Amino acid sequence: MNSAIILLLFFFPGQAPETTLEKIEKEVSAVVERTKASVVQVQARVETEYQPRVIISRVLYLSGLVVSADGGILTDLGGVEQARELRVALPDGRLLVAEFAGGDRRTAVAYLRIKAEGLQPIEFADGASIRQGMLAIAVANPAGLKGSCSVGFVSGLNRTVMVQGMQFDDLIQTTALLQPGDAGGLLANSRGQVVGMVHSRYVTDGFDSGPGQFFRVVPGEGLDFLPAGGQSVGFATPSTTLKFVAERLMKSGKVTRGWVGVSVRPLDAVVRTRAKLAEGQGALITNLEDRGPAARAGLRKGDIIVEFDGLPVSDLSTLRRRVVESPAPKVVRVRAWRAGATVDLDLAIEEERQP
Amino acid sequence: MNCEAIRDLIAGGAGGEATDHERIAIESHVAVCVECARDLAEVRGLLGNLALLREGDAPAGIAERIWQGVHAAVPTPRRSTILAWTLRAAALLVLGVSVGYSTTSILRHPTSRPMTTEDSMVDEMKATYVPRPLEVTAGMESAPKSPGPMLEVVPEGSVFQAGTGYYLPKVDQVLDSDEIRF
Repeated sequence: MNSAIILLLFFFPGQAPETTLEKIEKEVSAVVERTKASVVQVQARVETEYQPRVIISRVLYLSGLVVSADGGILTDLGGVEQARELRVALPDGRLLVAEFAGGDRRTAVAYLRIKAEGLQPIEFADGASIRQGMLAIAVANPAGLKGSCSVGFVSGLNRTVMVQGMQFDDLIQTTALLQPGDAGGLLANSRGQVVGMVHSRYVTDGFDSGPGQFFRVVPGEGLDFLPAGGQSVGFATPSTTLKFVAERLMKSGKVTRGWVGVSVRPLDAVVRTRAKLAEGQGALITNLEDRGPAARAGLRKGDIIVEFDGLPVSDLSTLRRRVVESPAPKVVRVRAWRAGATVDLDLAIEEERQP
Repeated sequence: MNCEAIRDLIAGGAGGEATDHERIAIESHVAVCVECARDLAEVRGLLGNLALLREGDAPAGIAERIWQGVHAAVPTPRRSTILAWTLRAAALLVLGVSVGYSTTSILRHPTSRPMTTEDSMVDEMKATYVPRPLEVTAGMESAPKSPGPMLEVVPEGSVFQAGTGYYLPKVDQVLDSDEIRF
């Protein structure tokens, strides 16, 4: 009997059980296939004056996200702001003329419109679900290669970077490989929802650290050139910010933000203990804009904001979002801890000027 | 790499003297930076102009005029030593001025022909010299090996197609700070 079973298994082997890695591969492939329909290529013809009355024309290629079925596209502002002509290549092969419908310099997000119907808009992930260590799947157009993917992790949150003199806050850091042509592309979670939109990358190529870093020491051989274009660190605009900006750009073509003119940082353990606050609570004011709303309200450097508009301050990103998303002008009540006592102040939130 | 560092590399890169590492750095930068792409084009144009300076391009008769100056200044054996040295210095001065004149003429009119009515018209039109159409993203490999006719007169309103670029902003600095502003 046993011999017969063995013989049967030999001639009709059963399917080997699916491994965990195979399951992950399938999931990733499914996400890429599903989201590719919502990732477009943006082509921007840019003209610059080379000498008086002589123009250099060139085409920049980047990526974009479909955010509405009737032709709303989000992309990177820097790539399209100066464009004389814009086109969008859809995943189905159509190449359509696009119109610049608004942009936000604070986040470098642009909103384009194309005349198309039945597009597949991307779904935004809940901002609270984004955490360090989660899978990050980039879908974009590196070097013009449409619908390419790269898989990595969300390797950091709340990052601040400088790009051409502009400061960008609250970015997601990712290990997914980002290449030229990816700006405006998708960074998705394992459900295919937008975690972020590709913003920029920091390239550690050995050229940035001065002449001393131009070579590397090879044991027994001496010096060798550092490889050009080494590892890079990718950054993306988080879905929470993106959704806020997209809604306003789609509604009015511009983004208005609340502003109070303060810089804050988390409390260290000593100050937190002295102020009798739990971990994460409170925001220490480190700087105030001269004659800004916070300074005019009477807040001072060293104050700790413990309550904002009736709610306790639990983390700085949430506090900033509440200020930024406030419809200015608006007056809110702020409670601050100052030298062992609390003070209540009326803070007039103003509209932030575009940088 | 920032624009300042790239500009330092561009002169060598445009002349084909860059290392592979430098060339890749330049290529990747000019693909996204129009300012540096423009600088690269200018340097290439300048190198093209210099390459046109070759024997036989001097204006007709310039050699005769130089030698006439030299002959006139050559001392005879009867003249004093002081006079002889003075005349030698004068000869060198004449030679220097002549060479300077010829070089300037070649740079302004590379074909070394006399100024024509057409040239005057071009000047009146305020036409400008530019390098051949740019190949900023096509890479250094596509730069012409021999300069060839690098200069051409371009009427105003000309538009040059300067290739393509793939866009992704490069972070200049990552700030290690937990301070936020609003």
